[in-house]
Amino acid sequence: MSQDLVQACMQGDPSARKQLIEQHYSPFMAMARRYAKNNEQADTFFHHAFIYVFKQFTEYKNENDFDGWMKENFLCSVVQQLKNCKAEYYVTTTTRIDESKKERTDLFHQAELENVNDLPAEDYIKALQQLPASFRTMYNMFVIEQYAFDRISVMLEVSESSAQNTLERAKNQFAKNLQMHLHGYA
Amino acid sequence: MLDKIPTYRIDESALRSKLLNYKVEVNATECSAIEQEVAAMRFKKTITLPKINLRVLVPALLIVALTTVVCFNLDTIKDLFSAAPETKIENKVSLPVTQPVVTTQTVAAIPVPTPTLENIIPATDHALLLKKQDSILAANKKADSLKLAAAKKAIPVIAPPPSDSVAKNNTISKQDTAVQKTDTPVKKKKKRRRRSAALEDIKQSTLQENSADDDVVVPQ
Repeated sequence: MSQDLVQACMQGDPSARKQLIEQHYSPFMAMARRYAKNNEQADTFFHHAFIYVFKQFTEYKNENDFDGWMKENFLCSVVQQLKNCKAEYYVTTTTRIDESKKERTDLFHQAELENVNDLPAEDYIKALQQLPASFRTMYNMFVIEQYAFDRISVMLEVSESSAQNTLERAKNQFAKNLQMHLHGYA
Repeated sequence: MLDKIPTYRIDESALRSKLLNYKVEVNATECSAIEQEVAAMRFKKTITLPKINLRVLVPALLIVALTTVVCFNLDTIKDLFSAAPETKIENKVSLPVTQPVVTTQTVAAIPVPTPTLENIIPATDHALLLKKQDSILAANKKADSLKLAAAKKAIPVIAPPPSDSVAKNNTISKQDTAVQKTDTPVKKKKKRRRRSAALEDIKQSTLQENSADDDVVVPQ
């Protein structure tokens, strides 16, 4: 069905175009919100990334997983847009080693746990949006999209070790953000 | 204080499923904006050049270059390079081309003497006849009269012998003038010599004691 939809879109069928956009609006907008620092930025990310995906239709070779192909292209565009915001993306990546060592707390292997699954998705998204751009990107790509480190390192143009380090700090910061969001302190 | 704060364990799989299933309400305006932008797009496949390995391409280009050098000879290429600097123009200031000014001078027409009866000098024999004839005939008569007048004026007069300057300018009688030139100074020299010889003789005679009795004739 998706292949027919793509072919119809390429031939200039307006109904097919509208159907495709509405069908993919919700999941892709949710993805854009996870990667952006706020909903406004998410809107711009979504718009540009969606146009980029449409431009890439000529490269689509009737693959079975159209949604996967579309998601990958969308993510590539979003990551590129994040990189273009150099002031946001690259400043936060440089942190002192001593500071990072001090802040290391094993939040993910605590004995006493509290179930946070009952929290609404908006709270998680807000906690994610409060992360620095590089942390946010790393967390999303590894935890949510479940990309491997080698692939992440290629996409973000960083070494695997630095990607692992960034992920560790991103997880730590995300937990702190959640605490702040729930209790008002870290 | 820290003991009371619960530590959170984030279930990543649960979080992942939650975030992936998160749905956003469709924004109609955003959808229409994207739709309009996509409608303007053209889905035509661009021509992509085949990927050629440089390791293959570079030697091939070198071979082609060498063959061209061999075919065209090195001399011709050298000539090209040698000729090139000569043709260089080094900031030549191009002067504005001055078009030749064509001045149309109105040449005054040479006044043709109109035959009038006043100018006619009638001959005594044909005086009555001329008055009756046309002006053309009269003009002929006038022309004849003018010719006669000119002939009278052009009566050869025996000119005085040309001076040296005139002789020099006269190209026709070069030989004669040359002879004259050569003759005149020789004669003068001879005269001078004669005079000088005479003077010397007088001086010698005056200097001599016995010369007082001699008659002295001083040539003039």
